[in-house]
Amino acid sequence: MESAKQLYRWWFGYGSPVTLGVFRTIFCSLIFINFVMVGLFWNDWFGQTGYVPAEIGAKWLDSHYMSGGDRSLLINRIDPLFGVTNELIVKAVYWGTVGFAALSAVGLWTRFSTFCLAVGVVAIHHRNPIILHGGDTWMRVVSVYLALGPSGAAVSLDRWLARRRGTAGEQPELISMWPQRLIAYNLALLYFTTTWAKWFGGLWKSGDATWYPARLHEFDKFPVPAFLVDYPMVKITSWGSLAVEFALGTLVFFKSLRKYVLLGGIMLHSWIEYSMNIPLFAFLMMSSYIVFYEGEETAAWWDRLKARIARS
Amino acid sequence: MVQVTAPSGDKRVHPLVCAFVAFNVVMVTLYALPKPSPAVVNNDAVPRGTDIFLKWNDATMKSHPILEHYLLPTGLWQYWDMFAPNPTQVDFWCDGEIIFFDGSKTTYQYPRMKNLQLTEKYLRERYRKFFERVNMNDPAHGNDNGWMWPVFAQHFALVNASDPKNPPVKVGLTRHWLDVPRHDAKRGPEPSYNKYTFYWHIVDQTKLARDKGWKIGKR
Repeated sequence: MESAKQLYRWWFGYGSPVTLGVFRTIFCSLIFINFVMVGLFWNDWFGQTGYVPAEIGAKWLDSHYMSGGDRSLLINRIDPLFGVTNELIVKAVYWGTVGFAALSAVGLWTRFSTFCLAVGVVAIHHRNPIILHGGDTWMRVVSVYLALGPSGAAVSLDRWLARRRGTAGEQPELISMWPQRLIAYNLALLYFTTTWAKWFGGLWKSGDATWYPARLHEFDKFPVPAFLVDYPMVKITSWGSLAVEFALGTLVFFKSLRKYVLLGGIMLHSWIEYSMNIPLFAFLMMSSYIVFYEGEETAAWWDRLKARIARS
Repeated sequence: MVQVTAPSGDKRVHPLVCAFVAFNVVMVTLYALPKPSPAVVNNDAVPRGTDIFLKWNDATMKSHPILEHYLLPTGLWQYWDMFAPNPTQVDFWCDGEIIFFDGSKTTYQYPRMKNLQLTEKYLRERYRKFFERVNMNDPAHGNDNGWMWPVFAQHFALVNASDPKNPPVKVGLTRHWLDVPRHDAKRGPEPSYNKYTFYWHIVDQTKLARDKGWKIGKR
């Protein structure tokens, strides 16, 4: 009974909104950068004369992401762009979403901005799901979660304006933690399920998996010393990746281990970011680690940092 | 900033919110769980242990209408198979042979990451991802993306069309690939890439003219 109460308190108890605010700022900035980068080639990915005209994106989504592809588009999606072939409308939704990413990052009209951002991200991803990688999926899921909760309760222009008007106190009000917990749970689920899937691949278990990505030249980024992608490092990085990802899916919830587990995750993603060309993926993942910290911890860290800067 | 203000009264989360959170957790978990081991998927082995549950989940729960109608519309659909179950062991890229009305030919280089400068490859990585999907053509395992090839090739024609009197009339899509030498193979120089023209496309001249803004019948 006590465990159930503890679980309830963890999910739904009230706490500081600071972590959620910091996370919203960083993550929505990354969404903004991502969409600007993709938007440089807008016509190829969203134009009717590009690689993915509306009907191609819709057909892909229907046949790949749900079973029974023959039922052709019977599921009503949150998709304002479904069947829209007018490029002006698609452009307006696309660049409008970019605008809402910026507004969400700074926390202006946050409830409205994050809602529009979530709808926009879902719509854009449903319009062209063919170019998405894991980081995009994470971006979409998080944008929905951010829209569900009071993610502008701290570290936002909304709060700054409210304080100026005298309608908000000096300290932000406590919020129920469930939106932050949803993100944390989903992030752990991501790592847990990818570890489980890898367990079925013989190469991860045998410690030979990282031999291969290092030799895929389409992913080449910065030069890598040969010994780092040869044995025995292949064994260390293969098994090390499995261990770190498993820990990120499980042990990260134990406060005494959290810091070490997250450091492992940062090392893993930093290495991927350095050696492989997978834009923004590492940043999206690493920036999400903050949700494993309580708002009070994030605020205390900020205060310590300010004090240290003041002393120096 | 360290201190926060407690909300007035004994605030509790509405039971409907709790129900929604629990529902969401169950839905995303069932959907994100991996497929059973490849041997079980291919019916080469009888499921054991967790495979029994994963096979049931894959066959029953992932296609359950409640799950479908919750996850796809909301954009919460997700699966996490980065480098899983095994990392890709084939390096591949693509180019196209463009044949024009007058019989002349040219090769169109679809963005190949290896040849791009750092900034360019960071910005254009989606082209690699797109070809990865276009290139999937394995009907036995549910990947049959040959239906995308005509649109893919037609765009090659569009990019290479500059003269209404001499438009591209045929496009060949060529896959270049290299099987990464096995980790336990004898070391030697990197083998050269294989190539195969996997699709020939007769260019839709009406669409090409419309997309280019050419007046039909001009040539």
